[in-house]
Amino acid sequence: MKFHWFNLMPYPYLPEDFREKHHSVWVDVDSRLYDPIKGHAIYNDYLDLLEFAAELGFDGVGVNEHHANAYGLMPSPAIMAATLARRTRNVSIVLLGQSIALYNPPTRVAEEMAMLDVISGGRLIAGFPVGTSMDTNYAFGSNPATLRERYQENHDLILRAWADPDVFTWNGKFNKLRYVNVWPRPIQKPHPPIWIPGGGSVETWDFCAENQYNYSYLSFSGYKRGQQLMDGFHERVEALGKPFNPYQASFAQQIIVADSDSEAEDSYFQHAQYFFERCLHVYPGFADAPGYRTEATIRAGLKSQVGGVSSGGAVGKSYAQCVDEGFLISGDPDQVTEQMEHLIKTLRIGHIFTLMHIGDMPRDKCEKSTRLFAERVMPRLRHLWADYEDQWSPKPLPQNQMADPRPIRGRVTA
Amino acid sequence: MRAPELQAVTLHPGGAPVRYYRAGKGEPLLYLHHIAGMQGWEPAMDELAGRYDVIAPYHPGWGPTEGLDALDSGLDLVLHYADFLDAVGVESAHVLGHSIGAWIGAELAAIMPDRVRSLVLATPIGIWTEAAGGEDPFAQPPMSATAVLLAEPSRRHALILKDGQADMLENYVQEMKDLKAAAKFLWPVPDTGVIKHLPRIKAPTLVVTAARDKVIPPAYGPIWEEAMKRPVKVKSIEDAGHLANLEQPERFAAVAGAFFAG
Repeated sequence: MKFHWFNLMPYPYLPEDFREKHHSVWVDVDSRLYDPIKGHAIYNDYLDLLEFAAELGFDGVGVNEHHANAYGLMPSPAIMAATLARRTRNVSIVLLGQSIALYNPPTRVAEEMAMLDVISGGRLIAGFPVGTSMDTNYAFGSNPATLRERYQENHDLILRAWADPDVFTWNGKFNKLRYVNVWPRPIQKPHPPIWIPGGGSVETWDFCAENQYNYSYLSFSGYKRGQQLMDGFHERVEALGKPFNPYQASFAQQIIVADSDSEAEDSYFQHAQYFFERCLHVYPGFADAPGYRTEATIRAGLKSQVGGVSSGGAVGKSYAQCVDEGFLISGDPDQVTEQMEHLIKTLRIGHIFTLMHIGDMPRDKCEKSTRLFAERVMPRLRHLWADYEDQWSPKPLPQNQMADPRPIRGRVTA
Repeated sequence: MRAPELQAVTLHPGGAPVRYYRAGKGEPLLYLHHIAGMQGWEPAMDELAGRYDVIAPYHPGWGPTEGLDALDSGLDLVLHYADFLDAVGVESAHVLGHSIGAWIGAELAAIMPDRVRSLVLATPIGIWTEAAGGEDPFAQPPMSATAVLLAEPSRRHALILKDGQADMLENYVQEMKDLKAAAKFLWPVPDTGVIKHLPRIKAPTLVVTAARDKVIPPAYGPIWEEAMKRPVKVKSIEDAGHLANLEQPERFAAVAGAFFAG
């Protein structure tokens, strides 16, 4: 079983009446709420937390991509991944951007991911999200009627750009490039493992199953509501005659570990409430642009990632309800271990994104929770799925070929 | 008049059939519908069919007409309608273009002037200015996406949901499909570049605004008039939003019908 520490990087200073006074946390969120001086401290705290998790033995550190979003301060996840590539050792760099349909030409993504794979010594996981409607259609202006077609073309172009050693011409519908020639080339051959973060489109299941990609279901609605999606994926894998492997599936879960359940409730739950009430306050008119979801997905009755149950689904709920309904896995290390084992077995996943920084949680609390998870929970779950081979983790260089970046030192004086 | 049957015509071998209504006697009138499609054979069409041979096709991608994938641009749409007129045996027609249909009608008149006898551009989409603005028709709560298109959102229940007779899920799926097709041409800012072509139009032209149109506010009337570079008439329909055809069908039909009559 593999564990990745993931930080959405929320802005922690949204006002208490944000839900009442503001239209949406995303797309048209008021930029006057953002203070870049505070932002400086926030970014550095959040990156420190990722590095801290790496030191504690998590398998990967994860970043993702959002635009015009006050709960996701990473419009360019490759920048975050670049700092992590230099400041961590041995962990996977889980880059759950870039939203490949957004970049024109998408060879930019092939280049940046290759750079990251080379800098990190082959530790990159290449996430290819379609991106939410808020990010892609509204904030970035990509046409929802052609988004999926563009995604497919860009995917094909990036894959070929990594695999084809020769200069080639790409004459696509959305990209026309006379000379495609990506320098540098990724260390991992033929390319870094590809993970597809899905919000709940039925087409994504088949895409992952057919291409042997990892299907990553990212939601904030918790594992009990994630069951339908993960079952759907595993069923498609089986229907297409592919072997079941839990490492082909991953899931994001918000987790709190404290010394006691009452500490989790009294000290930590308020930060989850901040997240549910302020960070997931999304105007429904931005959740699902016409054409963003295919007719098949609409008919399958699957709510889009944030437009559906997850948006505000936990608002007003008590701590006990949030734990009971799976929005949170929370408690002392024993309780969390038990809930985690249940999650891992029922969803049949080999990778988990532990969302341990939640809402406006201060750094010291997050460090404590993260440490408890790493020391008192993770070791008791490691044995799960030991019979399966993880084909979706990076294959880095051997240690003797790994560079040893120079540590940050004080000013050199002559 | 009894509602005519939906007909189908195929423009090219292997192409998706175009579904359309045709009824009435008189000079041909090509009716190009708004961004949210058609509610079948509508009362405004029925009024016009008293004086004209009304031909009302669903654009490709809207309603029961498939074939959106084959179209990428305004020129593609113009050629589609030139072929459609050929297929239904009409040399030239009065064109009533509404909303996105106004853009298509204006392009048709600019590029193929011989095929357009006279032109009505009702709540026309295709020019966008920051000053005149307008609500984003593609950023609406999904289950009531078309409410913004009406002066009174509550009228949606009667005009679109058929007083509750319409199946909610089917209506939702259809609205998303229709708006997706509109988005293909209008996303993210409904500026199609038609402004460059408007001075080429020779057909007598009337611009119609709706006094309570939130998507194309009436301020766009003078903007279109100015862009035509010649005197054109501008009229306004009271107590109507973007879908003036549904909210004020008699007035909508009367304004267009009188203009076509010359």
